[in-house]
Amino acid sequence: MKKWFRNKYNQQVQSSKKMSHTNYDQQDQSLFALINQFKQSGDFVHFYNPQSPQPFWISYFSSLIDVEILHRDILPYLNTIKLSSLEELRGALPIENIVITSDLEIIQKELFKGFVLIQFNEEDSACALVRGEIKKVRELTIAEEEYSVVGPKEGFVESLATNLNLVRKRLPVSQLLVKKMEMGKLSKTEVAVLYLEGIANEENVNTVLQRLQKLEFDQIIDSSVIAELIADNGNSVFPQLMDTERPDRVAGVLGEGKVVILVDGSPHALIGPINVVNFFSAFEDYYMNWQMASAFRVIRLFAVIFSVLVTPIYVAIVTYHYQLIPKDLMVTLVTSRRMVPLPPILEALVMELTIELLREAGARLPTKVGTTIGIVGGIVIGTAAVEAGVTSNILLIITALAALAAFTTPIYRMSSTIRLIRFPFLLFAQLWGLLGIAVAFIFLTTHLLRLTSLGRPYLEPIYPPRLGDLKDAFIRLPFSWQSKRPMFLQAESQKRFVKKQAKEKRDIDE
Amino acid sequence: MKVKAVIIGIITVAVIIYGRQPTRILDEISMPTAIGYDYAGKNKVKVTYTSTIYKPDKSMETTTLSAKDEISKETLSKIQKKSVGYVVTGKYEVIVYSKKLARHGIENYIDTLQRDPSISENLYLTVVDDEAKKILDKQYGVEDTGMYISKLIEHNTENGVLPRMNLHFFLGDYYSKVRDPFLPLLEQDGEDVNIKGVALFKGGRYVKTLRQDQLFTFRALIEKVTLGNFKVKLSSSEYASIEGIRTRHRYHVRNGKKEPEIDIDLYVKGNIREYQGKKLDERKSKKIEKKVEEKLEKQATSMIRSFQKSNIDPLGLGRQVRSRTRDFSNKKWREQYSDVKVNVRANAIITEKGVVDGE
Amino acid sequence: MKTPIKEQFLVAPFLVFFLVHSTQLGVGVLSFQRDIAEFAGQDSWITVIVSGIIVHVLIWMIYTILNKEKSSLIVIHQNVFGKWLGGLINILFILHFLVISIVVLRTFIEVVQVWMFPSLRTLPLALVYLCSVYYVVSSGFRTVTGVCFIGVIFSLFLIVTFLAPWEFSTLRNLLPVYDHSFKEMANSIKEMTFPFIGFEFLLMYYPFIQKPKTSQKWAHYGNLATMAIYLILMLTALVYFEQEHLLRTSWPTLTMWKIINFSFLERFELIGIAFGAVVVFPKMCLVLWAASRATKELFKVRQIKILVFLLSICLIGSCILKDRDSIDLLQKFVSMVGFYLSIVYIPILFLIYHLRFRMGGKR
Repeated sequence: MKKWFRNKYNQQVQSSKKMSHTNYDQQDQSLFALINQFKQSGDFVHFYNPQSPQPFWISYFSSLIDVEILHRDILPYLNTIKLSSLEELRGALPIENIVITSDLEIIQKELFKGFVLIQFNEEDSACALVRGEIKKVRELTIAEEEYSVVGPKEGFVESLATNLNLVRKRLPVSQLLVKKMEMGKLSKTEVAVLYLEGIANEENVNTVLQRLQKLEFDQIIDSSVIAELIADNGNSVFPQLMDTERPDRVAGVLGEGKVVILVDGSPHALIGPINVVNFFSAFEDYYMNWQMASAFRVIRLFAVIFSVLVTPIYVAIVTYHYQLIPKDLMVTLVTSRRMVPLPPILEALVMELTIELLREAGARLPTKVGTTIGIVGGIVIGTAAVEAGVTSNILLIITALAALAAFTTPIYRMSSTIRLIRFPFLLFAQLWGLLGIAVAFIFLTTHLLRLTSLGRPYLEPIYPPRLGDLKDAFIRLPFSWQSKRPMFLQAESQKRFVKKQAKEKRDIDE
Repeated sequence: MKVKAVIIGIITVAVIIYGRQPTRILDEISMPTAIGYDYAGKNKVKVTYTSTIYKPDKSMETTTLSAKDEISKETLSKIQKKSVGYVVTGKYEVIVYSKKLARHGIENYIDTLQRDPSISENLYLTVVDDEAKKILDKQYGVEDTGMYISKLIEHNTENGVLPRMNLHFFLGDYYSKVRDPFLPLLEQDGEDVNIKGVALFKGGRYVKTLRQDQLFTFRALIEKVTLGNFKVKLSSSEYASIEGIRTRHRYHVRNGKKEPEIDIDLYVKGNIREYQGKKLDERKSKKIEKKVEEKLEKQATSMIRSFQKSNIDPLGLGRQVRSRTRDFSNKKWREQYSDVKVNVRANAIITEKGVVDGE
Repeated sequence: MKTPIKEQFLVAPFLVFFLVHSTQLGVGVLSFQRDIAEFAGQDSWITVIVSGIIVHVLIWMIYTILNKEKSSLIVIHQNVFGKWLGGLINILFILHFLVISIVVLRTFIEVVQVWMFPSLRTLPLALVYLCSVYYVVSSGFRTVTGVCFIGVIFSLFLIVTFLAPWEFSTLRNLLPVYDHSFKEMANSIKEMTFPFIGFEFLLMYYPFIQKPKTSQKWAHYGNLATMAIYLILMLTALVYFEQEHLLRTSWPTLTMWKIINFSFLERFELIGIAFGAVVVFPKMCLVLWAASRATKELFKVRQIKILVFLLSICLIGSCILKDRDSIDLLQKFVSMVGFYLSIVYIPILFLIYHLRFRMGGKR
């Protein structure tokens, strides 16, 4: 609809330009034509008020403007004050930045942003544009995807201005630069690139800006569209930009020297460059003492390995390598498998798919129903499947644990990836047992080695090995040790604070 | 891009078609745990495979299948025809040779154990007094027969009766030119299996038996015992039982090049746990120490003498000499062995007398 | 002549440690003990140390040449021997690299066929393996180095597993020390060169190192680590096996793994083989990278094309080798060629190079 609309307008502009040498009044007519064009849409309001001291025409999209503003700040003044020119509106209305123009491009753009158009005569080519856009924004709520028990709870919302406010108030320094641009042929989405000048590496910033400028797409509906479009390798299942809904995380990574992309209409900020280890650190880690944070990070790491490998290993061992099972465990395994008619691979696939179904159903339904589905489905289906002999109860335990382990990953996108890469491992395990798992592992490692995020190695600090960055990777060492920004980002200024002061030690009783 | 996709597709299909492997799904295979070898005429062997069927209600049932052939692996394929599931070799726990077969030599039946990579190195080889099939036909307790026997041996190895024996040690001794192998000797004792002693081998041939009461000394000469048990008789009415024995041995070889002479020092430390007699005082415990030493020396000397008489070397005296002699010659040692002079000196210390003092 | 490699493709000097180490560790790890013990018996561990030291000297020689020349083997040969003779030697080296890759691949597949899947055909596994090699090598030397690095990290964990056989071992087996003749020791040292082969690839990837002169110590450390691993494996095998038993064991390392027995896991050798796939992989990648790079430098062709060609030869070659005997024969052959090309030839190159260099200096 919109497309068609725009095309028609373009044609009109082009045709009117052709005519320009014949008709000097063309501009005027064209604004008039434009308004007539808009009138076809039901939500466009265009009316004349002859009763006021200076009669005027007013037009706007009722779906875009705040009626409150119109009634309170515009109409009363227009109806009482005698105006001789459009310029005087600037003094008359209590609204800033009133645009007076006859440029059709601007007029059209502003109208779509929620401006009110004021003319004194319907045929006038010049008009005044007064801001009156409606600000329908969801209220700040708790960050639900990246919930944390301790620390700030607020999350981003769908408005760029609010989101910028959330970041800016955490970083009230002049170095924080916001580069704005407009993207999407249809959606005209406002995109902001944030970075700290003098800390973020110029190269990273330029890469982001360049890739964004080169981007051509009709609709940028959410930040994830950008994430996919500017990724280094679009065919990878691994997210190469991190998306977060936590303003504190954004402020934190900006301080490290990373670049952040905010998109209007999206409650997710994109962070880059990023490495694989970052995805396994919850921001909560920085709010707990370092021993606890390190312990939980290690647990999370093991959870990921466990989650990816445990079902494939089960399939490999039960299908091919019966020798590996110690004699005491044998009885348990054999008795649980005895009734099951399916081969282990099908058994495992059925179980994995069941869990994916439960998760998918739970995610699509309203929260309360979703929880019930999860619990009821889990218990009922699980028990019934074992009783019916479709699956062995050992496998049931294993898959449930694996699913649970996948969800310990703080970033949702990564936890989906982890659940997905289990399947190739499963198939390889079915093909060649443990050897197949090793082969799948080789492919996965190679893929990760090849991946880059904004041109920086994805597997850092594992490879290329950088000991300095391991301080905040699999474990988190105390803040006083982390006087330098991550080497990975090649920040312009490496030092965070003076190490000496932080490490100064006092003598006994002094 | 299209070409790439086609190539990847072809490779995937090729790998799936040509790379598929026969599966060995856990509940569809039959896993014998105990294998019995019986003598069945010249160069012929009867092999009994004992496997357990686990039922879904966690109860179990032991089944045995037997077959005769010249080559032991061949019996396996005969067994396949009788078995419901594919019979695999990877879960062998115990191999039982009948004494009769062992006397004729088990060389031919060892090869497969080593050649087949799926057979465990932790496998226990045993010799049974009677027929092997008989001992395997029975179900012991609530456990699988193979596991029952393997646990029996394992526990007795850990807690002090048997020296360590498994397939790995047996093969080492079997191939070694300076040692001879030995295996535990089992007997069926009513409803149970009993360890009767140790069967001594010359190469792959059973030679003689070491009785149970000599096992402690035998073990002390081979390895460090950590939880031994030893009984001494002081007089007709006085007995003492020593527990928690820790032993150490030290070999000395003199004149290894020409005529080797071996001195063995045995150090024994232990606690008295049971004493039948009058007062257990300082003097008495000294006497017990002395008695222990005497008994150990006597037993060890006569044991070694009998080994030398049968020309077997389960203690690995040859290894002791070899490791202390440059340019050691296996052949010469073999010739000398039966006349080598071996002196055993024991040294016993009683450390504790339990929680009762004096009487 | 020289085409300096772009900065972004270079690797840090300390990664040379992993490059040297992982190219030396190959399938030889699984079986070398027997071949050495055949000659040196309980003194085999001395052989390992002596060979390690010899390789150290060779690495030093390689660095003295490279530090002056700052280019790869191909260019050095052409500078030293002229275009034709140098080219011939280069082709010899490329063939040698190719055969190494075939032997490594085929012996690994053989291990899988013997220990894991008796009915597995060579083709599918080789195909999958070579595909992943293509995936790595086609993305450049940095990725190859990364694979080496990760392979080494994995093998580190495996070292711990060799503590288990010590529980079942007899330390007496090591005595008496040095009870073999010089000739026996020399033979065993010659035999020991095959497991150490891999350091000579330095001649190929030297131009890819940042500040290459500083990397020499890392190359030495890498060789030291290899020596340490071989030493551990050798000592473990010597104390674990009776000598006569060892001589009858084709893959002592795998047999030693068989004894490991956890409460949740038995028969570690199967896991060991799976890990072996990850540990052997870097060597394959680096060898094929070196072969394709050398061909590129020699004939000025696109490396990606020549890589596909070499991979197909490798695939065909490994499928042709059908049984133990032919594999053994090729392995013996590679071992011999490796001995002459690295242990004998490199000192000769060293001498010729320095003589020429001195004369050139006078001119």
